[in-house]
Amino acid sequence: MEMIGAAWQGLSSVFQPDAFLLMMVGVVLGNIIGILPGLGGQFLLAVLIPFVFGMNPVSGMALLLGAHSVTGTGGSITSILFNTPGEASSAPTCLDGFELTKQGQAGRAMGAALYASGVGGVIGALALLLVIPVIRVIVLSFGPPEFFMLTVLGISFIGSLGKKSPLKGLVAGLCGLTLSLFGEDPNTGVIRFNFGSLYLYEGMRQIAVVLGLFAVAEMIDLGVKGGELVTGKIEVKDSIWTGIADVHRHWWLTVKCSLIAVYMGALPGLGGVASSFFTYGYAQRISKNPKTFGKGNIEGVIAPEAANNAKEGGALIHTVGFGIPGSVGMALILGAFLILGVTPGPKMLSQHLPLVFAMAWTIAIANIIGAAQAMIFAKQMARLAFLRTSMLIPLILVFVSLGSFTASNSMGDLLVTLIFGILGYLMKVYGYPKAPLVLGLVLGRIAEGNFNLSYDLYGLGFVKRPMTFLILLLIIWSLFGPIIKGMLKREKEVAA
Amino acid sequence: MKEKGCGQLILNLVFLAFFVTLILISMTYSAKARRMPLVILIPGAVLALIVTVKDVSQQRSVPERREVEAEGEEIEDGELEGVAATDHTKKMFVMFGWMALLVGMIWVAGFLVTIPVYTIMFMRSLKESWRLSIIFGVAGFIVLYFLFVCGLNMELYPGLIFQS
Repeated sequence: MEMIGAAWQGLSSVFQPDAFLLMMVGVVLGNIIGILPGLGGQFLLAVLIPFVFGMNPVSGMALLLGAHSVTGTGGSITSILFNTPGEASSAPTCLDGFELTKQGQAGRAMGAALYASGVGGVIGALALLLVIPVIRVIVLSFGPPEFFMLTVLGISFIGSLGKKSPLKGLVAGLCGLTLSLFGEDPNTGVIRFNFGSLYLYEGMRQIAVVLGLFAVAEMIDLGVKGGELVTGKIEVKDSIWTGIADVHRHWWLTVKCSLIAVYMGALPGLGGVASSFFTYGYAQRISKNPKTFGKGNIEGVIAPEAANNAKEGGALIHTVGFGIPGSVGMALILGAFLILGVTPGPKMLSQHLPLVFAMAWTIAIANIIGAAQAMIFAKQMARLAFLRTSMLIPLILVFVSLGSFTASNSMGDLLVTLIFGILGYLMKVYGYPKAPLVLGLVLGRIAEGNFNLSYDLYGLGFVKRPMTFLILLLIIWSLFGPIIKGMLKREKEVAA
Repeated sequence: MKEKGCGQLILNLVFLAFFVTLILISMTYSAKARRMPLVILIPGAVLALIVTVKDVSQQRSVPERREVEAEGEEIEDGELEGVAATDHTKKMFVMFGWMALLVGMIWVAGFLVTIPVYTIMFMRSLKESWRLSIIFGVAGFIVLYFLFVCGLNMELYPGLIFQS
């Protein structure tokens, strides 16, 4: 009864005029900033946090969570239209979303992405509502060996992301893993691969690399090709409904990917980018048409977009429950808690339970409003695809250069973006997939940190832990399953 | 050797050189610090070598494919030859140059000067009208100044010449 009462109290507080208005402001800003490459949720949170001074906790959280929850929704629009992810976690959407745009189905892709984002966000929020009492036990039962194995599981998907050449996919993935090792080794304090540069002391910054690989490379490609982004006519209105229908058709995929993202979001350190790529790889594996992934398969849009927004519910679980931020965005939210006079941790679940529920409701409602808002303007957005490249390139480059620079106010980031832009273009031309490089970069540090801890604690015997062993079996299956399946299929064909 | 094959070989060799160089650098670290890098770099070098050998042998064994696409289309699947390949390479280096110019201009002149000037230069180079180029350049400046500098209180990099 106490839980139901707190849930009701939380819901009614979200609909207080000031809280609701601030949430709406946050949603509008989140959608706008989400569209701008590089200026994602972290940027927006950093800008908005100073404004929450003096607000009551519910209103302050309504503004921040309203904005942060929907940046992924806006981010999918640029991923689909320009192959330019609004933020790193939208990168997997580029793979099939942009292909659909090239096929004249931008509206369908946007409809599916925005609707899946909304549904994913609501599922994430509902999961937060339901899971809080039990997640504590699960998260605390996980140690470094389990976290290491989970990251290896993510890395094992690298090969499958190399659609034309798995070998090249693996080379790109290992290159990304190597880049993740640049900078200070957290285990020994040794500065690795900095080539005498102060900039590389802190390692390779993900957003600079991602902007280069996906945004600048695409601008170079557009510039080389010239002309318009797409030719033909886009019936956006109808296509949006087709996209929504696609989500309904693949409802089980949407739910599964959302739940996976909630779970991954609840594991500190894995973060949103990993969950987006993970669910993309997962969708490819369970799809009836895995070969069409990367060529405009709508499942490749639905899976990462549902995951992208759903993960916020999961990420909030340990931020609220344990005071452990799992990502930069959640670290900023944690800072905002303190500004608002709320101390996260077990106390929050007892003394501020209605606020916890209000946060979950805010995420759910903001996602519904954000998706609807983006869908209403999707037609105008889709028209951007008809801009000439001569207009589009400088327009995008303004935001790319700003996004790259503002991530850490460093010219070094701009240089990294340029270098990876050129590399990304060459990789595209010569058949190297870019996604494994990003996945390797994201997961490398996490894998190394957990491996070192596991090795120090248990030696190589850490693989014998039950949950670790179970995940290891999953890894083996993900690496060799397709080969075994192929062999069995060939045997069947020969027998027939 | 065709231009695409040559470019592909160069990129393969860049990856191979990347892994080999970092292996050599790793050997200068302590055993604990080089443990993870070597676990990644050695398979990386082996795979990069396999990819290189595979691509070279494929180029030798497969007879010439003459799928020259007009205007540089389908470059991922076909090989460009002659005029089309040269044109593609030229355009590619021109775009690399534009990207480098953007970073260079920001470094020297900062965001507020670079964005409008670069936009106008870029659009004019692609034969857009003066009027449209100036409109886009000015619009870029307005968005940058009023939204980011005034609205969001962002401190944009002023550039070497305006830094003082």
